[in-house]
Amino acid sequence: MENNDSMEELLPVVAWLAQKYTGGESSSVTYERARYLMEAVIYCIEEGRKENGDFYPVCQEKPDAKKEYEFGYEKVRKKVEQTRLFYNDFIDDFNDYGNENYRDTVRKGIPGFFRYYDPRFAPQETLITMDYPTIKPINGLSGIDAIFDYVNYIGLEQKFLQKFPEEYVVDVLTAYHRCYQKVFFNLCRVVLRHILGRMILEHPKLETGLQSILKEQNREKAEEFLKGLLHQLIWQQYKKDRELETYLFYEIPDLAYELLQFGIEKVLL
Amino acid sequence: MDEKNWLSLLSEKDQVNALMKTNQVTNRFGLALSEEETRLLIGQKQDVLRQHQRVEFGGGVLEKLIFAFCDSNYIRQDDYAGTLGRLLEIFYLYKNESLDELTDDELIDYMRQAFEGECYGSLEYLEETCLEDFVRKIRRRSAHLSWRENEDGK
Repeated sequence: MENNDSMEELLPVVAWLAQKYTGGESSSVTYERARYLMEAVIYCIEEGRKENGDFYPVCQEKPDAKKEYEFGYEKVRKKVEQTRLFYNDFIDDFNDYGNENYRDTVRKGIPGFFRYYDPRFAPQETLITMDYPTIKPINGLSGIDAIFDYVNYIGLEQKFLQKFPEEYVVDVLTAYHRCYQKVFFNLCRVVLRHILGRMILEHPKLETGLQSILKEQNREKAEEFLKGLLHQLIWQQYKKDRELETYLFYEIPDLAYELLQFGIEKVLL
Repeated sequence: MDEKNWLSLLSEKDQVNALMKTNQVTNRFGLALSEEETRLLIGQKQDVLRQHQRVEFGGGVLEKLIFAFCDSNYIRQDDYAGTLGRLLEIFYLYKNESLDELTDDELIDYMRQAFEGECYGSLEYLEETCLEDFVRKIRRRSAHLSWRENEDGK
């Protein structure tokens, strides 16, 4: 959506949207509002062009901007519904383990998004600050795209955490920080590192293997080692859940770096 | 924003024709616009929109102003075009000042009532006193409603 020709084609759609926005009761809007509505149109058109699910082929000889916009708008609406369903699926069993930021973000922040999100006039707005940090950050995304991923990640983290008894998780978190209830951090990361640490300690050969990699200061090997360990965990305990594995793999590069800097004891336990 | 009002889809010719048609009604009150005056008004509208950082997406504001004010006791043929130009400036100024809380019709209705009533045909009084007071009340009401919504949401 970069060149001026494309922008020209969108003008009638923006004019239509502006008319809808004012309910037909104003013949003009401010520059700011017009830009905002242009962003809304672009957001929906780009959503429509994404190649997940149905998509509007870009190569049409005579693209109809309005149709493309409506197609994208429907995709945005469906994505909101999909996200809402997914959220409803896990929220009843959601456990915040006493962490206030986690609780507030998931129980208040996300419902706030659903209440106020406007797919027609402001689909590009994310509305909430997503204070709880997920293992994979939400970078470069906005609107329902950001929230869709965010809710998905929280669901995956819950799946990981709920494998363990609640008291066990609380003990691990308390050992990490005595006042963990009030701290802004990712709970899953702490528990994951602890579990990987336990796996290594319970198998001396693994510990020896990792120590030798750390001595070499070989980051690539360290990452491979950790991925292998995580893969084993997911395959054995989480029914080979590839989605969960792919998500938790995002933790590995940082973990490998920290292990090389600070050693096993300080990082994993 | 480029120089043309980029959301307006009407060509200048269409706008001129639409405005010239209003003479069929305003003639009854001794008022009419020449083609030259119509072109100037349309150009003035673009300038005013640019000045007030607004974009027009539908036509019709000039026509609405014409029909609202054509039977005014205070407008004569020799100042007709000039008065319309000033009304246009005042209109867009107060669309912004009212934070778009007023529809086009609401603002034009108030302008007409005030112009004919307490302003006694004075555009300066309309712009600097009547509309100032009116819009201040609108903004205060709007701020109060926002506050109430926030309180209810808590």
